[in-house]
Amino acid sequence: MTVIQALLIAAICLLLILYYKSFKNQAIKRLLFLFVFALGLVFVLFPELTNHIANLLGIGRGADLLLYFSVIGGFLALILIYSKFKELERSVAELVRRQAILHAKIPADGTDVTSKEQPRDRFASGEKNSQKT
Amino acid sequence: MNENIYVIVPCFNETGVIRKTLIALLDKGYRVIVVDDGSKPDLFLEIEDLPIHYLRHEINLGQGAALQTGMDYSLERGAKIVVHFDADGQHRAEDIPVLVAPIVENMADVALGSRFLSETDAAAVPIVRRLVLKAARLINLLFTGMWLTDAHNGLRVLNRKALEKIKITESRMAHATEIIRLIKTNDLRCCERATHVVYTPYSRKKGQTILNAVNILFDLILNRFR
Repeated sequence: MTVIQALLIAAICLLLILYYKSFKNQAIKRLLFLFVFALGLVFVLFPELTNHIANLLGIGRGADLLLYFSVIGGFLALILIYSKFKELERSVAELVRRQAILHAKIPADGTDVTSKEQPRDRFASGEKNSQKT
Repeated sequence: MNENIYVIVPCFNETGVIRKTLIALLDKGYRVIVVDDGSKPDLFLEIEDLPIHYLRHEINLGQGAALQTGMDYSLERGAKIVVHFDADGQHRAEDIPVLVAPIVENMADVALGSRFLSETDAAAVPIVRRLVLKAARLINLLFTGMWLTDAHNGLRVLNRKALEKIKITESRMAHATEIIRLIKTNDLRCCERATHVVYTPYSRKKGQTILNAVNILFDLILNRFR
C-alpha cells in the first residue's frame, strides 16, 4: 500500500464517521452513501479498476472518470443544500410573520371597534389560529 | 365608512417620511396597519402616539412578506376592504377612494393604481424609471399573461374575496408580479384606475433601480422552479 492510499482510506473513514454522527437520514439515503463510501475504498485499493471502467465509457484515464463524477456530485450536493436553505428561510419567515401578528400593537383609544379586547386576548386568538393551520 | 377600510403600510427604515404618510391616512379615517419590516432602530418609537396597528417583523423579510403579514392580520380582524400603500410618500391618500369605488360597486375584486392612465402623470415619471417600468410591464405579460399599463404601482385595493385568495410567497420585490399572477389564476376581476405618483428625491431613492429589476426577474424565474 502506498502512502497516498493510506491517507485516502483514513480520509474516507473519517468522512463516514462524520456523516453518521451528524445526519439522521432515511434508510435509502444511508445505504446510498454507504455504497459511495465503499466504492471510494475499492477505487483507492484497486486504482486500475477505475481505468477499466473509464475505458469502457470511452474516457482515457480513471482519474478523469472520478473527476467528472465528483463535479456532478458536488453540484448536486450544492443544489440540495441550497433548496434546504431556502426551505429554512421560508419557515423562518413564517415564524417571524406569526410572531408579528401575535404581538400586534392596537390603537389605545376608541378609534377601533374591536380594540376593546386587550393584547392578551389577541395573543390567545392568535395561538388558536396557529394551531388550526 | 372609511373605518372599514384597512390600509397596510409596509415600511423598512422609513425615518421621517412615514409620519406624514400615516397622518394623511388617519385624517381620512382609514384604519392603518403599519408593518415594520425589521427597521433599525425600532420604528415604533417614532409613531407610537398615532392610533395605528403596529406589527413588527423582528428580522427583515422584504416588502412582499410585510404585505402578506398585514393581509393576514386584517383578514383575522374581519376587514372587508384592504389597501396596499407605500410608506415612502409617493402615493396620495386622496387617490384611495378612486380605487375603492369599483370595489364597493362590486365591479372588481382588485383595483390597481396606474400612473400611466393620465397623460400628465405619465409625463411626470422620470425617463429612466419609465423605461424600467416598460420592461417590467413586458415581464408581467410573460409571467402572468396580463397586459397592464403600470407594472409596479404599489397602490392596490382588494376586497374580502381577493384577500382570502391572494397569498404572497415572494418575500422580496417580485411580489408585484406575483399578485398579478394570483389575480389571474384565481379568476379575480381586476381593473386599473389613474392615480398620481409623487416623485420626491426620497421616493426616487427608495424606488426600483435597473439592477433591482434584474433581481426581480431572477426571483420570478427561481420561484417557477421551486
